[in-house]
Amino acid sequence: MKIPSMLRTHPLVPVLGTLLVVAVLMQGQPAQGQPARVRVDLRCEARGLGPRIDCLVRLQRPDGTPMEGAALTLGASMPAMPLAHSVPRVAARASGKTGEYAVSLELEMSGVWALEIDLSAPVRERIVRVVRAQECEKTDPCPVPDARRGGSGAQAGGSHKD
Amino acid sequence: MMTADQAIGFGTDISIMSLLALSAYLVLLVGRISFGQQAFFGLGAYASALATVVAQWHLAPALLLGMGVGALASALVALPTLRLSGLHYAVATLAFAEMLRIALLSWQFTVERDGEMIGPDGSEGFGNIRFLLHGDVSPGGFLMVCLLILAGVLLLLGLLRQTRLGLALRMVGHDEQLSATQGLSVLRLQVLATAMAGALAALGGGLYAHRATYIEPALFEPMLGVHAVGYALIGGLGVALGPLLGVLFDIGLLEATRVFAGWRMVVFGGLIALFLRWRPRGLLDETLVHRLMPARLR
Repeated sequence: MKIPSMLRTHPLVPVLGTLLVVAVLMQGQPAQGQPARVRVDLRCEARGLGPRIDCLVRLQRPDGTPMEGAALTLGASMPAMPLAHSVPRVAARASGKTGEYAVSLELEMSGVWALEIDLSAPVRERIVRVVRAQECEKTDPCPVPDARRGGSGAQAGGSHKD
Repeated sequence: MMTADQAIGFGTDISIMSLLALSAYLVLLVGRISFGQQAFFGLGAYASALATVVAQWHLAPALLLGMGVGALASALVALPTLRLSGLHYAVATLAFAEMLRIALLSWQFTVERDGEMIGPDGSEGFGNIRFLLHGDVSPGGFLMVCLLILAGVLLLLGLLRQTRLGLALRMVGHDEQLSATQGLSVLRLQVLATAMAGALAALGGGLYAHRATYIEPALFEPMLGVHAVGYALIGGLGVALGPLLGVLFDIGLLEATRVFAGWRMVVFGGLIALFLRWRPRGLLDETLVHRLMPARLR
């Protein structure tokens, strides 16, 4: 028995296929040149056995001026277990300094985490930084170093260091 | 209480993971087990991301390219390895997936765009996959795309079930020797199923890459493939909705509610062990589906 002879095309199949392609085509347009990016500096410290990480996110407009009134969240997921090991997003609050925002996350375990900064206003942006967070039993907070060369493999979104 | 943004995120994750679980289900359907579906997920992610970022394609052809790459790679791996026995095939798929992951760790293909280097950069990963941001596709809009694609795949699998091809695939899954004596080309059918499975996994990978904006080889470690098989085994092999049930249980319930917190992986692993002992073909197995489904749809 040959495989093609087993296939009886249902009339719904081409209709459905066309609908799917049209639906996906309607979403977005290809990038034609990269618009100027938001400049992001992320610094985190780990505390406790969770560990909990306290992060400061500094945002600058492409011209270098601090970005005030931004709406952003921070989430985290483990690259080694995508989609199945993540930390719910937490909204960042203004830290008091212009263009600086503070946010804390309770990680489930130590290890390499991809921190996802999602900016929803005044512009849409996503920055991913890969860090190595270790449990911290000391009184003082422990540093959370980048796990990738040059700040992160995730210069996605244009992360810049001071 | 889950916020709307979190719910959209979980919905998208569930849709994408369901595609990977369905790819593992297709291989299980023809009587084989693959611990390497994460390789095709990764191939799809890299291929479609390269298409939108470097070649500046639209998302739809980029996803189709990823599916083609996944299907072709899966068929090429299956052709020699399906001649091995079941256990050896499972190990061969795992070995291929690890070979690919390690190769990606040292693969660099970066180009300059507007003063920035973009493209796969070995263990540093592949960032700036910004099609959805450039196109101003909202997270809710992308969730709709993912759900529509998943619904389309489920409908196609449901239709496949009612064709002679679907019946032949199931027959091969139940007894290869008996199928061969009935004139079925067992190897050809299994290669076809694994190619379809590779395309599905690659489709999930392509969607994941564009949702996450960043991918790296560590994403495609064996745990991802093991989970995909686990979802299919828990949810059931009787019908394509089975793997979705497994994904909904793990990501939708355990991960979203964090009811078992750090013990989640232990609970998930224990559950697979229990199912293998008492319900080896999952919750929605063939017997239950046969009992529940109207006769004309069986």
